[in-house]
Amino acid sequence: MRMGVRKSRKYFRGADGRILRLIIIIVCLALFVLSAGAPGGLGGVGMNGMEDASEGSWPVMFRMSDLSKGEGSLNFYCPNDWIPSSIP
Amino acid sequence: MILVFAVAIGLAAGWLRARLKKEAYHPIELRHLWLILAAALPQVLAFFVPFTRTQIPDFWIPFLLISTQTVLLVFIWINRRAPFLWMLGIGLLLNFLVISLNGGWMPISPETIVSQGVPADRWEIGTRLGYTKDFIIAQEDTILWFLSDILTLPHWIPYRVAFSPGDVIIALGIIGLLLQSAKPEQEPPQDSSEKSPGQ
Repeated sequence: MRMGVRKSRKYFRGADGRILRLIIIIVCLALFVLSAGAPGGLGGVGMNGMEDASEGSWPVMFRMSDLSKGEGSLNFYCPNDWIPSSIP
Repeated sequence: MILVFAVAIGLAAGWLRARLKKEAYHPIELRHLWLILAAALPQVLAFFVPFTRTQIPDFWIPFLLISTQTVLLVFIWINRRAPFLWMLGIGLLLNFLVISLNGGWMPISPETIVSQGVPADRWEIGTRLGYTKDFIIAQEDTILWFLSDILTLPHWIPYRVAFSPGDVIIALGIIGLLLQSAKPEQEPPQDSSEKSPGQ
């Protein structure tokens, strides 16, 4: 009985340790690729730096710093398929 | 963010491989993981957190990018014996090279932006692309343009992103690293007294 408890404790400690190590490694590798890579998000899911208007469509793209300087404008880009056919 | 998919793919492939071989999936041992955290934290604040990235001036970005990627290169060097780390190192080095030679930014050409259908009034040469690491530079003015963000996904994928050859190598390296992790855990060395009880 005592041996069984010891064995199960060892098992859970090992399993927990492995899962914890796996989580740490995955998080670190995800952070690594985010830092090492330099993809430029141009739209859609996971886009950086631009406000998403709609998944898969081109975003409303502006920077608050530009707006505050009066250099930008809120010109919303409206893809053709958004425009209702009733509008001439 | 597209590179995080490579982590997910690598993890899924490694786990599946381990299951098929009826082995436990063991994470690979890497040393000095804190270097990744030290490199990632400034970048997360500068590029990903909406509140902080608006506060960091653009002229800090080249310094931040080059210094953090240098830290990652140190991490790669320390762990160079780990499988597929060399591939991550090459991808990182290619990105580091093109970023360093182009003023601390990842160049992206107007042609790449236009090919993705971005309206012409949404970007301007000589400016940063949103809050990304990219800076819009004409291809003829880009040093080592072929290492910049010139690659895009097929149009049938509803995800608009430009990425570099270095990013591709990093993605392949991550998948290989996580796939390689599915190796059986080494048995601890047995005590010599257990090996030869008769002696």
